[in-house]
Amino acid sequence: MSPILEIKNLHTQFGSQIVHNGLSFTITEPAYIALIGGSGTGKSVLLKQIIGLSKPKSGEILIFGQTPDYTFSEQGIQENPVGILFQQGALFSSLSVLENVEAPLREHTKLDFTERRKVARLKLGLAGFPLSSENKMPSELSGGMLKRAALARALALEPKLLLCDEPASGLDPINARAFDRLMLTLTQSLKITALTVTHDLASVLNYANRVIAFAEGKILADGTATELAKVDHPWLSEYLSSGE
Amino acid sequence: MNNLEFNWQKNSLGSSLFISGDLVLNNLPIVLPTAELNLNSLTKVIINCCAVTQIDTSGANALILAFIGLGLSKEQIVLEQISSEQENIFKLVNERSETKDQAKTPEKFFLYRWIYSLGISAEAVLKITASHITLLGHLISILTFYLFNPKKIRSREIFSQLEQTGIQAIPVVMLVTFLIGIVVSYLLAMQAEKFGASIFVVDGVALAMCREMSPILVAIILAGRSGSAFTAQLGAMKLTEEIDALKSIGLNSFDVLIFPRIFSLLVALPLLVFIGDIVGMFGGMLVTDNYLNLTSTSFMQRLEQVLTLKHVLVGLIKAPVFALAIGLIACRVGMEVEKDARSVGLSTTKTVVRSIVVVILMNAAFTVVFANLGF
Repeated sequence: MSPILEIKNLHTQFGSQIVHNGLSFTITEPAYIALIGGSGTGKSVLLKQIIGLSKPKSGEILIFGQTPDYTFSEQGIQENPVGILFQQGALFSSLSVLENVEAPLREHTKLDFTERRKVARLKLGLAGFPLSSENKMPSELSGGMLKRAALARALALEPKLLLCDEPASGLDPINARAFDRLMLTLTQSLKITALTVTHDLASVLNYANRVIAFAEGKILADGTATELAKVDHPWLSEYLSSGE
Repeated sequence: MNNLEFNWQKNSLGSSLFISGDLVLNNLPIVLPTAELNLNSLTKVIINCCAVTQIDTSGANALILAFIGLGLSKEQIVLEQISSEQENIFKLVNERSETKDQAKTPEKFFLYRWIYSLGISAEAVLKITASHITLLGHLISILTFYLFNPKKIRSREIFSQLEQTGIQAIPVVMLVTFLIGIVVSYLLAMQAEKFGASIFVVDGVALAMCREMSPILVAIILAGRSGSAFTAQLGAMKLTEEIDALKSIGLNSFDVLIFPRIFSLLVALPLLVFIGDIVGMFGGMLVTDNYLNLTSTSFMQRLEQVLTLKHVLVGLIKAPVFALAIGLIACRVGMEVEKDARSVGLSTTKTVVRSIVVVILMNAAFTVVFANLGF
């Protein structure tokens, strides 16, 4: 079976600033993967490139062995949809939470109203969102609830690859750990791969199955948190010891 | 993508449901073959998953809900020959999905709903009126305060607002009143010519522009131009918590934000109305000069006779009242913006619509009152 995600020799440049300089890595096993690196090392840029919002200068991104079709030209669900959880949630502010989760289903499936509601309620349940608040507007939600609602929307089309941009930002530690546990449950039970850009040391050390560290546009280290601790690099050692 | 199929097969233990294909989102909704089932004696259902190629959460959920719809509980559904990976999905779905139907609130009688919504609207109107009166009270109290402490006036904010609401609005005010002056003059000229009463066109244009047209046109322009800007500015500041930040350093949001805006509108609107009067009559004069052969000299002579100060004052008295209405509405709506981006847009629309309607209503009231008082 082809790998879930393959990044091959990626180069990205904004003006004279080199962001990715020959970035390559492969994900074959479904897992909760943390993507770390100092600011400006191109983590969020990579997520945008994976979903096609921005284009690399050169290099290749393969999802399940295929170059993804970003045009959404076909009717129905794409073969391998990718879900994304934006940093601020990015829920549509004019729709209620339930309608937000339904929105991708309405566009890409032929389900009728009641069937859509069933699927949307399931996704909210999977994301741990209390169904008593399903009719609230996004502006009425707290930070933790907003992230859960956004996760439910990201899961709507049954993606096997889920991208998360700093899910822990704006959450208190209790909610951030609850989110980590949720991601572990989802990745283990549903065999989803969650590629997560994060600065949160606790989720990197205690929850992520695999950690990929970026520096100078390349992969600095790749492995479990314990393996990363053995790598000798000033930024990485300072980062990993910042909780002490 | 494999099609989803269901088959009931009988064996020694009873019947079990054989599923083959993909139990996934794209194959929803599922239709269970229930014809061969005896629903009343159904206590347990065995689902054989040996031929299922793929399962996702939506598919698993739909299958469970379908059986729950037949009156079974989650515990009465038994899965057979299922891979551990697929079983994990079922387990998670069972744990997390809400199977109970949402309780529906019973539909109320229509008369009840009407009266209810009437009450809600009435309450809203009362609240709006109350908050306008509060805002007006604030304005009067700060005006009297500034009267005795003129050094405390925030002249920088006031002048910057005056430039935006007053000076920058001059070109558009001139353009609009000039064109309306021409239109009014043409209309009157065509009628008056028939009776050989050309000279009365001057009366008509001068009175129409000064008493009604100029005040209402300028008020509508400023409602669209400045009123919407006030609401959007205050709303955006509320979204980014700037207003809270002002309060935190001991500044009163009313003194710093609302007073300069309303005050500048109060000053600018009458001045703009005066400019509108002159430009409108100038437009009318151009028409009479070209269309009626009434020279500009005789236009001016007639104007001196008919346009007494009274008529100009009638227009200028209305202007600050319109300004106050626009300013109060714009600032109040702006301060009540909620914390999402959509609400800024909605509030801006609200400001423009409300202030234009209010201005036109008040103008009608003014006209009736002035006519009865003999002005």
